[in-house]
Amino acid sequence: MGGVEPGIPTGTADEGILAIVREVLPGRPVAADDELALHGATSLSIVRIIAVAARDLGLDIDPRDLTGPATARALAAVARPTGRVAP
Amino acid sequence: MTVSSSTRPVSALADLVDAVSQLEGLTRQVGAFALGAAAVDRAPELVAAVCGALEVPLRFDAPGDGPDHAVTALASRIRRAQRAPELARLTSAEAAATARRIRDEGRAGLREHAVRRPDGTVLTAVAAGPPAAPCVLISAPPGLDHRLSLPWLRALGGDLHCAVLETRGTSEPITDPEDFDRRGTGLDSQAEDLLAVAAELAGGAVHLMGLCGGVAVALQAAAARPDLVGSVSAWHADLELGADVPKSDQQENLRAVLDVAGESRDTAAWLRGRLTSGPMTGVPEEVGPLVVRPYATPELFYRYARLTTAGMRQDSRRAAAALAGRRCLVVTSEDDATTHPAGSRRLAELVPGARLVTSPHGSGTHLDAFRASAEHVSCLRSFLAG
Repeated sequence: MGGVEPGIPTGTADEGILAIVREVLPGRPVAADDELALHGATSLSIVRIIAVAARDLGLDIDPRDLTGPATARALAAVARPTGRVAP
Repeated sequence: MTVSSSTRPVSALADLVDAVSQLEGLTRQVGAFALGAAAVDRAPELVAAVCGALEVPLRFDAPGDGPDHAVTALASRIRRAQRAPELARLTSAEAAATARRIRDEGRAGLREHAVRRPDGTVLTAVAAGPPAAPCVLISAPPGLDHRLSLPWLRALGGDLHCAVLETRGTSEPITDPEDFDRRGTGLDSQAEDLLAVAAELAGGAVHLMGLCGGVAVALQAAAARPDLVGSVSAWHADLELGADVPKSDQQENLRAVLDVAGESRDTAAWLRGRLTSGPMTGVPEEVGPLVVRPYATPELFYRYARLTTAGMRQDSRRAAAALAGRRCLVVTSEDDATTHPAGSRRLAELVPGARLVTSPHGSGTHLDAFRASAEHVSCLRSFLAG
């Protein structure tokens, strides 16, 4: 089965976060390795992605853990389970 | 005073007094508040003297382990102001005495009212102008400091009775934090607060002036008590009028973030940590501490989220329609990137006879809602004159 884009398996953090990114940045063809700032992401929109990932995916993303530009795949790479159960 | 030969130190001190005063409301609510030592890198004793004179209990020993960009933003004006070279000519005692005088002059003509609500909430309203004059009551965005609205009080207070209310739970000292939840945070509660202040301060029907997120509260109050609210104006409105009305990225993002933050205190604390771990960009320098105040502590952020999402979530179309027959002014700007002007345009469509004023491209921003420019004051006065 394919994911939301080639190379992104379904059911993974990468897929879930990329879906949230596309919801937060609508109308922009964001790929998993695209730098989000280049698609118009602001600091507030990144925090929105983090908030929704926690609520819907049970993932805790600390942007301070990023070692490079914020991309969907990079956010997924630093995500940890929050222990929360998504509604 | 040794400064009588020049007003420059006084001018520089006035800037520092204003910077410290912007944190007065915060410390009144949460007590002593710690900023980083970098905020007083040039004049620590003088800043301490000013804080003491103004009774704003700031400390400058916030831990440096891990960035908190909200605290940095709260300190930014003090940090800049205390670097003015002219301040070196003042002793601490002179600075304290002059700071008190500057504060008292700034407060001249302003009156503070405490309005107790049946649920125990004590509201703070600040008023200017002749108490017997027609009353303009400002409904400011939830959680923001009343000082943001002072330009309007100063512009209108010569001949009108103009007042602004601080939202429930955002001014009185916090004793039991959960009182805030028990007393209610919804739009109905906020609108009832506004009406209680209107009843207390005004002899007749008031003009309600909603600013940004305060518009939803104003509409709700106006719909509930037409006997107390004669007319309404909506300035750069942030409110929900249906899914087909475009919102700005800022509106969409802030709503989503605050929706999550308002789930619980734990969630708010966690999300505040994520939000303040990076620079808080786009904060205007002159009012930065007032705008950032809701992010100062996890508790304040939780309260801001609860109060703000109440207005963002509730569909205000019915309240807008209830204004039929009353006078309504709607003001926005084509360039408002914070609250989409389409919301104001729709509001004007929903209220029969509403007057819509839109600043064209290149001539307005969101913060104009608070600046009380000569053009906007004239616009409001013309509207009030009928």
